[in-house]
Amino acid sequence: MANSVRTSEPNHPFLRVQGLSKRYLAGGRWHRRVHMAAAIEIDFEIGKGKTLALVGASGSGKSTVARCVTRLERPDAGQIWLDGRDIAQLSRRDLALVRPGIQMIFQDAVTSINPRFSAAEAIEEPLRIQGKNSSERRSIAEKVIQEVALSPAWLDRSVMQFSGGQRQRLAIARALTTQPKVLVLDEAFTGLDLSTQAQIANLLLDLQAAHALTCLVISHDLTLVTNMADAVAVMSHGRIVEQGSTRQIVRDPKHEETKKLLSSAKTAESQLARRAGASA
Amino acid sequence: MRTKTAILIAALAALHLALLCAAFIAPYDPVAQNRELPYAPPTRLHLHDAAGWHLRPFVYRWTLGDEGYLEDKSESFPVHLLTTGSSYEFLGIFDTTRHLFGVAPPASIALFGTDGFGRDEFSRVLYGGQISVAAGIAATLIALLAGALFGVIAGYYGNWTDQSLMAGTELFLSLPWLYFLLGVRAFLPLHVSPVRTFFLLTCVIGLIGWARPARLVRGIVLSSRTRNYVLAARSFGASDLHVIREHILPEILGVLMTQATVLVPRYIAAEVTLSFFGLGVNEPVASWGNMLSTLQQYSVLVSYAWLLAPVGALIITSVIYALLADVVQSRLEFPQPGN
Amino acid sequence: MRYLGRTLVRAILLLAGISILCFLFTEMAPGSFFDELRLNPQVSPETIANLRSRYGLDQPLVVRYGRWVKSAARADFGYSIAYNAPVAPLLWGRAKNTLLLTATGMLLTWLISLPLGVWLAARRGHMLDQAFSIASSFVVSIPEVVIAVALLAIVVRWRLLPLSAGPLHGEGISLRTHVQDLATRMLLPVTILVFVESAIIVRHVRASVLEVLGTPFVQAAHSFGICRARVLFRHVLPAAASPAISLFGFSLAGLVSGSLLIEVICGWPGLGPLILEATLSRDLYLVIGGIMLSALFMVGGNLIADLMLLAADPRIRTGALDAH
Repeated sequence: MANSVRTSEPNHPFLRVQGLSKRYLAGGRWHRRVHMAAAIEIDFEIGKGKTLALVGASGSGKSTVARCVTRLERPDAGQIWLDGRDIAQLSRRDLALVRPGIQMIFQDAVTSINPRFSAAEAIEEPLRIQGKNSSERRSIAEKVIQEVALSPAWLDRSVMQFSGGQRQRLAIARALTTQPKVLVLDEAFTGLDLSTQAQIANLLLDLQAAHALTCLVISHDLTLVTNMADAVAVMSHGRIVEQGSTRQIVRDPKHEETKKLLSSAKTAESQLARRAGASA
Repeated sequence: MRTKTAILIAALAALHLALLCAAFIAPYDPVAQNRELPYAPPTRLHLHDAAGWHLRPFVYRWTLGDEGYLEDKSESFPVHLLTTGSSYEFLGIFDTTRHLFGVAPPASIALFGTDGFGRDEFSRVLYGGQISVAAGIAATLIALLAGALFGVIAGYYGNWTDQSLMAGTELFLSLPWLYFLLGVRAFLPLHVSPVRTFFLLTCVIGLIGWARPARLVRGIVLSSRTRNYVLAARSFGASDLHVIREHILPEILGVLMTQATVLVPRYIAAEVTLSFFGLGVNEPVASWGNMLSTLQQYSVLVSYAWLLAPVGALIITSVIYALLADVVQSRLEFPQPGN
Repeated sequence: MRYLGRTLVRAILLLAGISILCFLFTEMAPGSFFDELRLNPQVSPETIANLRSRYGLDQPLVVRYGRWVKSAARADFGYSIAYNAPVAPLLWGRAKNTLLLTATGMLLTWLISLPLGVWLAARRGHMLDQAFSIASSFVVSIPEVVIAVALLAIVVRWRLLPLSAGPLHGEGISLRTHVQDLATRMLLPVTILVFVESAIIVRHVRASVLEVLGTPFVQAAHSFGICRARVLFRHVLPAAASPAISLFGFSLAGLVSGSLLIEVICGWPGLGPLILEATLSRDLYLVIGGIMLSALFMVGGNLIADLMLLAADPRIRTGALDAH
């Protein structure tokens, strides 16, 4: 099933999703199960080193898309082209080779890192899974923890001793250990206070520049994403209802849903300092 | 709170240590009969006699007269520490004849008196404790292992496996416990060697008790399985084994520990009950259970109160475990990392 | 209604499961009643073979189970080998005695425990409450065997209660003497039962009343100035009733199986000594019958508890507790 055709366009999208669909079974008893479509015919693409924001109200299907793209779930239909390779239906074994390339940062850093671990154990987990030995793991951990602006001296502290924002940094460090090319952020800023959000956002922008990361940002907060994203796709009830460059969407929203999201967001374009100045 | 836990753990450790070293602490062999001293009351320790106060306690011999037991004051026998007595194997490692304390023959020191066969009750309580407590602990280990295994399987794989295993636990949990225990014991060979009986006993008690630990473990596995950090691990390509080993097992250990403090006394009680009915460890091997069963005779109960020693021992053991269970329970109910 | 049907079906399945489990165990038995007989030189091998086929013990497991189910339908429940009579009447005769004991015990326990539990909860921290907590902790953690023997020893040494032996039902005694005799014989076992069970139930009642006392709605009632007694009776007790009802169901569940030890120790001719004897002599069907009877009560008791809870707690009916 592996497909290694590469598109030959000069700016070929690094991540490209076509016709992605996913249904879930709802309801408990056998006879009352109902299929609920969570994502229907999703199409989008992200160029290398670029950021796409996927926004929508809760329940619009954004998380489903995120999970499918990182293959935490298997899509029912459609293709997911990662660097020219379709990973939508890859088997578990083939997937193991692909996984290091695409990593996810979860919504709640407090729950996405095992609180019983030390910072080092948390960061090194992907490396343990890969079977690297302990000195290798340690050196990589020291490298990545500095990249997220935390001190390597803290590696042996328990995760419990880190604040919410710092844990999110640990999660990012963890994701970086496998040298991914794509980062998927599923509501990664929710639950953090505004200044921490700004710090993390800036951190991600720096990392993106440093590693040429392609990012997919899932959020319901339009304010945040307009400063981070190059393009925006708006979802509603499982479908993408509008997409375009950030500028376009913000200045000239066409769909109802987009307008709704914009109006409930605080004034865009002003709050966050992008690259220049803000404390990182 | 800390000191309380420390004291309890120390008490428990002391208890277990004492039982472990039963052979050393006990002055006599538990099966050594002394037909000349049936139902002798506890030997009295004296510090004072006609000659005045002594530092080392001493005893007199019991002589059986028409009126019962009388102390023969003609000769006093001092109590010695670290004396030589009957030979035994210490912890199964080496043979020795050294005991913690004793008196020179023909006197005897029976701190808790003797039973109908003249056997030293104190020694029997110690040796009997070994059997009863070991049975409780062994059965607990079996129950926890079986429960953990099934709980992890049910919780992790879900669906049919989970449903059928949970139906199984419901079945076992609605069994009338004691009746079923009796029944199962009935269907196993009754008159076998004490070693085999012990083995059978612990297996039966332990295997019947798999249901509750299994349920608890399953609950934890279910909730752990959907945690975000498990999801994250999967996104790095973690295998089931990795997830179970790194994320689920540590959670389970807490529950297993609480369960252990609750189950051990319960299973000690089970062994005592079964032996009491003659379905457990039998004579001549001593266990707190079969020692209690001699108390069913009215005459014995009325006249020889010292034979209630196993009652005291059981009360002490149960209470220490119960207090420990409370402490462990309340510690685990405090907000824990990850809740 | 559906709930009722569902729980009923589950109860029946449970009972069936238990019976199958029992039979499976008998299959594993490497010895049997007849091993004892075989050791007796006076019994010839032919007699043994005869007996075996008569009791159907040489048939395969499934056939035996089928025959047992059929006999259950006929209310026989198999045949006791030792007594040479159908199991059911034997069981029932003894069960009546057991029920007399446990029902009395249960009644007294609840009569004592409910008020005591509520009273202790209302006077939390009071010296008596603390004393009770400590005492009940002891009683709850010590094995029943130990408590029974200890109480027996106390009673016997200080001759607190009369002990007598002998059959329960003699011929030609007046009703009055009969009842008196019964009462004196019941005194010791019932006392032990009540002692052990009250400790557990009072703790539970106290705990659930305390829990309700701490809830916002009770504190609101207080702040409205409603007097304490009224708050207690009209608001606290109904809310605390749910756990108490479940507990009551569990008491029901243990009516047959809870007194085995006490009966044996006190010499009460109930189900306990019968089953023990059957166990020691490997009287197969009698043991299974005993287990099934007590299982019946357990499952039935739980069922009744569920139903009572359904009737009493409106939250279950509306499904408000089923939030996923």
